[in-house]
Amino acid sequence: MTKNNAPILEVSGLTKSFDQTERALHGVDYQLKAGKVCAVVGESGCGKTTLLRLIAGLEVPEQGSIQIDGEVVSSTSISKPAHKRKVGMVFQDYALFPHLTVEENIRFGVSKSEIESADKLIKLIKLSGKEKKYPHELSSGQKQRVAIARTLAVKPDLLLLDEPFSNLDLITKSTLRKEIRKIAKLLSISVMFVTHDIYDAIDIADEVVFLQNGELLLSCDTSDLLNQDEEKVRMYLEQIQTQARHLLSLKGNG
Amino acid sequence: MAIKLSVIDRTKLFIRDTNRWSLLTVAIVCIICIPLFTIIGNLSGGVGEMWSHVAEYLLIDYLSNSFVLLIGTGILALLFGVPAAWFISNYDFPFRNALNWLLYIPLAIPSYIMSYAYVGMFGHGGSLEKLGNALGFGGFNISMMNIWGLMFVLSISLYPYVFASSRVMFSSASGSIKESAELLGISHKRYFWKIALPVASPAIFGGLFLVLMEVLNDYGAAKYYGINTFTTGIFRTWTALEDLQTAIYLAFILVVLVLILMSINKAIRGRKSYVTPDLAQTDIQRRKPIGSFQKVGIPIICALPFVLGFLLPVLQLGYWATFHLHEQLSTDFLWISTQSLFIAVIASLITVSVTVMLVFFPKWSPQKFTKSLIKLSTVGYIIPGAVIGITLVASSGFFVRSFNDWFGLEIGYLIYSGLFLLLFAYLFRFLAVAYNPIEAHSLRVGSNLAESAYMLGKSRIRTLFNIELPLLKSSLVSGFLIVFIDVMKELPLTLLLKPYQLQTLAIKAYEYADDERVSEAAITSLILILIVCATMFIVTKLSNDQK
Amino acid sequence: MRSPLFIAVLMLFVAASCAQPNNDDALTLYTHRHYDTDQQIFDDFEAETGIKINVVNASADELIQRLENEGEQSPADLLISVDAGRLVRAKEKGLLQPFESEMIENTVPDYLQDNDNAWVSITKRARVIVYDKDEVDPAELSTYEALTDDKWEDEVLIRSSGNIYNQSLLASIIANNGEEAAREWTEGVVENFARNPQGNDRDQVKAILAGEGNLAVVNTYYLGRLINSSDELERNAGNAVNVFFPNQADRGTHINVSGIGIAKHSKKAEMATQFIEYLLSKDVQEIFASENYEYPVNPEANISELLQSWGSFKEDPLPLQKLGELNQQAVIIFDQAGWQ
Repeated sequence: MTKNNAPILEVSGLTKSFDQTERALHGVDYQLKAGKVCAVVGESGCGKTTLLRLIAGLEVPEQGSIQIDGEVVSSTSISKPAHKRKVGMVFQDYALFPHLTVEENIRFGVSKSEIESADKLIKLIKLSGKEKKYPHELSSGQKQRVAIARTLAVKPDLLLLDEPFSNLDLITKSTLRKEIRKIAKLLSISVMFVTHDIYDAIDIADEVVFLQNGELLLSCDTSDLLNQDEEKVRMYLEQIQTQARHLLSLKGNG
Repeated sequence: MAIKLSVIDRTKLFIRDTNRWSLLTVAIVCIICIPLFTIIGNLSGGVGEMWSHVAEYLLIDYLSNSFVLLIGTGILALLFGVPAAWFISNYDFPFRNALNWLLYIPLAIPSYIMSYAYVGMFGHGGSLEKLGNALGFGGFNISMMNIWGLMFVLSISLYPYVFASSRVMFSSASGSIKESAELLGISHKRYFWKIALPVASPAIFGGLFLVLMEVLNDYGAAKYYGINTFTTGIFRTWTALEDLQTAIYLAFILVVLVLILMSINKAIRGRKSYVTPDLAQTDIQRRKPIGSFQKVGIPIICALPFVLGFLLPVLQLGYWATFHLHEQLSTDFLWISTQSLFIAVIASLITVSVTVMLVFFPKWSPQKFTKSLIKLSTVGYIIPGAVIGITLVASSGFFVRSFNDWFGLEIGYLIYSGLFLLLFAYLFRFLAVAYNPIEAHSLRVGSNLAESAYMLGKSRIRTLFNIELPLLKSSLVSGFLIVFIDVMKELPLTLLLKPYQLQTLAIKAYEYADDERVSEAAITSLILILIVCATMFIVTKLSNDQK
Repeated sequence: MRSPLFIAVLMLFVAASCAQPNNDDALTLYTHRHYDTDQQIFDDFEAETGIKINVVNASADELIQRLENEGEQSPADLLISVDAGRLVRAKEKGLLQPFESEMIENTVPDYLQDNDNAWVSITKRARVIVYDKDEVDPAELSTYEALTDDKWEDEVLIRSSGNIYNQSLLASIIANNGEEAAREWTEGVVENFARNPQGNDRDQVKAILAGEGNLAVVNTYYLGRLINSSDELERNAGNAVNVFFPNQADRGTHINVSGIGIAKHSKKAEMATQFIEYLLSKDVQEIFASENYEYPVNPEANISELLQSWGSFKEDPLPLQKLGELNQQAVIIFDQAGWQ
């Protein structure tokens, strides 16, 4: 168990360059406290996904280190394999196993003794009745739920979500958002998710991280957001107003 | 904004990124490439004394013949394979289901046997002439024993590679692409030229590449038809000119030429993505019924390759077989067939397993150089079997002597009389055959699923067995099948490296044919063809049932 | 690592199961001959002596390469080649050990065996000219050399120069007439080709039947096979031609042989010698002659009726060793003359 307020994730000086330099990261420093929800915001190609993949252990950095729960999992001399990091990740395209049913997908990472708690998750994430379906028989929202449930089932210390709301319609998006926050708090899991939409961040995140061209622009508590005078942040905030109006008009129609 | 790293940093990262999987990959590649290293090691001795003679009198001839043969066979194989695959994928017509299967089976006939059968059919006093005489048309014949005949025989026995690869692409071409094309009002013909063909072209080139490799490797048919190709030239230089050094040099030139061909193939594939997202779900798609005009044409186009590539040669072999049925009754075909099957199954299993290792181990390490190393281990396919055989004999001799010198162990008997060398040779020779489709398929499946399994705490091995291999099943099966067929037909390696107890159908057939008793080889050839067909049938049936 | 480990164990098992301990009552024979008749003879030998013959079939070149690399630990006891040249090469590479046998010494004529007893011929084949019975008057034929005569333009059928029998023939011409004459001969024959060399010896005879040319240069035993074929066409081809033994007025007809030698590192030389003596015995020699249409090297052996019908002939007594020595030179001349 993690101590309260100790960082569950600590990233320092993280640098990664690809052959095509567009998705690289440069000297990123960041700490995430246990139990918090963090949103990583930025335009596409700014290195958000790369950051997640580095933390997950799917990529290796060239410089800098990553600590999870106080343990160095990645540095210039260490690279702990992904499956040993106790990090869960939900992919943008859900990556459900097409040859397994919903139930089998969710049970996949779970040992036999814990199948029951995995099955409880099915209910928690509102997938009852869909257990025997195959992924291609589900809607995008349902697929996302399966992907989240599957990841939660293995009880990771840290949950990473890559653009979890990008393929969903507005209504599904907002319900799912609320649910994720609820479940994260319920299971006391730390969450880091990537989004290009600051509305997602404001709605559920405790902290927001802005990435630009692979560099950390700013990180702050969500509540502090309005006090920031970065031009970039103001631009994002304007974006919210437009979207809020849109959401309201949608609710009005329904 | 690339980062500058010092040499020390780079070394550190290199050490960090080297794990047991990258080490294993390097080890496997090194072991597999022993024959290649032997060849390269031999090069350091320079060309042999016959080099200037070869260069002056033969090289141009070998190069131009091989070139013409490659172009001609390639075009013919495309003509036999692509239209048939297209029609079978997109139209409904009589015998479609049967042809869908039958079009693969010419692969079951070794090309040298095909070359004998065609001379038996169309040559002087061949079956065609006899039939013509019997029916009163008067006899006529077609001279097969020239470069055009060789082109025909090779393409008709090898086109299934093109057919198979284009068939997969045509039938799995994304349903949404096809529908959106239809909605845009694009005619079927235009759809073929503008969309289906470009999308399928990398796969078709992949199939064509296999055909071209087999053409370069062909020895039996070219020798019988009297066409000097690069491969027959290597043999001539080695055996008749008694210059192994130059022969190995020629083999090396061949390897370089093929590597160039390979990079052209890769350039054609380019960086374009041909991944079709909903591949798995659109295997079955709507097929058009055909109009009356096409009712005759399409079945004929699709049946022609089968008739020419299988039916006619098998009829000819059957006709020959009747001459010798009584003489060969005493031959223990059952035992010979069992041995052939046994060795082919073992070799295919080993090859597919090693392929899986070579496809996945490099992915399990952040080390990048291992990936390019893999290509090295697939060059065995382009080196003539006999050259592999000689180099293997040479390098195994070295090992045996070293064992003797260092440990005082006499392992010679184990190596020379066991199956070990032969199985290793098959592995080296046919690795590419299994590697290419399995690797391509794994690229299509992508890494997301595996990565999400890692994120669920599953180790790489478990992910491999639970997620990746089940998803790759179809290409694993086809990889197994192609290696199986190739091993069943394989000659030079088997001849040179087999333990004396081993007797295979291909060898038996060759012994007759080499002794100019072509018709006596018919029964053995037919059994060989039958076994290969049966295996193809059973394996495809099994994999279809499980879908 | 379930799968790779499993494979590794399996490979070891397979390797081990196939490697039986060296059997004392068996000889391992590397041979380029693969006739059903031979297997029958080996079986008879086993029945008679209890010595089993284990056969490895491949081309002589490959077998020599294999012997060379296997060195001291080679399982081979004997090497059979279908031409003398390969045996000479094996001897030069030190892969053969001399045998000591008066029987062999006395049975086989000198020019058919090695001076140092490294190898001995077991059968002979004559490379003859066959001609269209209806088109050619045998009186017009005389020697190999005469094949270059203008009157045979577009008439001569012969297989490719990659074939060892053609190489040996040219080697004998080099030995007898000198290199320059051999070169002229090669060019002359190429000019008289009825078609580009293609197919095997049988195909040349069939081409006569088809009217592509009137003369073909072939080995005698292939003709025997044709005449006794179960295929009607082949019988017709065989019967459409007659055999002419060239150079009867001078050196004699060129012959080539299949021969045998004992592997250098064989520890069973005595047994191996016994086997060679068996192959040279009158009875076995007669089987070669009757079943495989080859000429026996044991003068006491009777030849089959068919071989008798072609008549007896004078052989070129050139020591076969010469053929091996000149083989490479012959190939070079072929290449230079553009004989495919």
